[in-house]
Amino acid sequence: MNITQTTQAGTLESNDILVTLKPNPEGTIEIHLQSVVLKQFGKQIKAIILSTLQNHGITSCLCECEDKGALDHVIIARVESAIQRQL
Amino acid sequence: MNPHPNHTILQAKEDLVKHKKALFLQYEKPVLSIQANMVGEHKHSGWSAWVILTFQRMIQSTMNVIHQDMIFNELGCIGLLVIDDDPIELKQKCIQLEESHTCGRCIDLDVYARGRNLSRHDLGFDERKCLVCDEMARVCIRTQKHTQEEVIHAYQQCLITSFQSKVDIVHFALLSECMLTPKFGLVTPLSSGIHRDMNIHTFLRSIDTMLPYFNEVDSISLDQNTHDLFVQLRLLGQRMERAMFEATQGVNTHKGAIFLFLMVLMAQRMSPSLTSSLIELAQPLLEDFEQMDPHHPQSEGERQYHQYQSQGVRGWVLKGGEPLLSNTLSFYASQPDSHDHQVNTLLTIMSQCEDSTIIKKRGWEGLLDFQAHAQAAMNHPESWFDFEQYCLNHHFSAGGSADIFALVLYLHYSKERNLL
Repeated sequence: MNITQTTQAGTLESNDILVTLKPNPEGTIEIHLQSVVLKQFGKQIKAIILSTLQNHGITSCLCECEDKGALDHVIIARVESAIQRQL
Repeated sequence: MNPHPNHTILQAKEDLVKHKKALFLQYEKPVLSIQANMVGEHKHSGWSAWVILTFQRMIQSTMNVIHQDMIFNELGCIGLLVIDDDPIELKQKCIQLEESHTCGRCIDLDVYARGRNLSRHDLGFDERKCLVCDEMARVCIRTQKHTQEEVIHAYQQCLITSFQSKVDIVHFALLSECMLTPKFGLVTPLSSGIHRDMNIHTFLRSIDTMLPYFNEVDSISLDQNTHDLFVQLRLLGQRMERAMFEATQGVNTHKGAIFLFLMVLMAQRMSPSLTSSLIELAQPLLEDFEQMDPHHPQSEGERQYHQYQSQGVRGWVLKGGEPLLSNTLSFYASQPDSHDHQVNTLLTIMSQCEDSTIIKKRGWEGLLDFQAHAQAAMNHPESWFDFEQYCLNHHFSAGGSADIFALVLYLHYSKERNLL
């Protein structure tokens, strides 16, 4: 499934993450992550985002994430609702 | 797609941001939100309310607040203030507060303007430190470096050191009572229980109004006989009741609490033995019972006295609050404070107290039934929902037990803080 419109989920409140999904003309999944813990956990957070997108059959999107210290289950839930808002 | 178990919390966060955005658009000024950094699933507690109100008061006295609101939802209690200030300068002031105040690590002061919260990073400040160690807080949260109990303990110790006076602890105790949820027919931040004429805001207004009067207990001279002392205290109590009714527009939120706290604050001044000074101070109350006309009871209390020989809260104080007070104090002290332990403490009181509000609704048999249900609910969180339903069905709201709960917390922490 390709992402065809811009949708958002989450907030910039503490322990949350703001996820924005946009169409990607390149046809691939591209993840841009800003995080207060990028140095320590950037790789790990990106992997969670990527696997959540893939689990939902996404093959192409631009995923911009601004993380404010969200834990894994919050990241998954926010990515999922951004996908859900595509429908 | 299945809703995530945390769905309501996540939704509440999105709603909070919408709320802030609406305030910003309405006033075109930065919106400051005050939230407690409370870990765990139970977000409503006297601890968080205490720290939020402490900072709210400080901000009110030093900044130009043009709108303020307090909301209660799945995220806990949140203070929202619109401040007439430049967003960046406001954020800098907030960071200074977070860094310099003893309870600064227990609180989040977020400044919202033009579509987003200003971050520490944008302003060149370091990220926030952990409550327990000096590591960056977000790193400890992600790696779960500390247990939840460890963090809660550090949090509480930090707040306990911020209690500066007996009245601070009275404030904390009254807040703890009104924030506790579930509370079985009583008013909580998330429910009005059986009541239609009051909610959490009514209680907060009432507490705010009462507090300054408690300071006056210390100005009553001990250099007089107990009877005169009692008369002075009763006059103070009557003034407090009038102020309370004015603040709540005629609703009785704290009549019982006013009586109990005034008696205890005064008795604590009289001697180190609370029980004996309470009994001594309460002696003039015996006259109340002597003067009652059995054929024409003037109040619910008088009616219950004649029908069941129950002296209610006055009789309770005449016995120095014993044995219930000592029992409950040692029960509460037997474990570290937690949400469930507070609920169990309240249930202990409910299972033993001759609560006149229950007698009023269903007589003596109703009271015994209520006490048995409270007893059965103790240590069984899975049964609390059913007990709440039972109270709602019987129209029970054990206000007398709630007053004693606040009193127990006050006595516990005034001893711990050594502010007797």
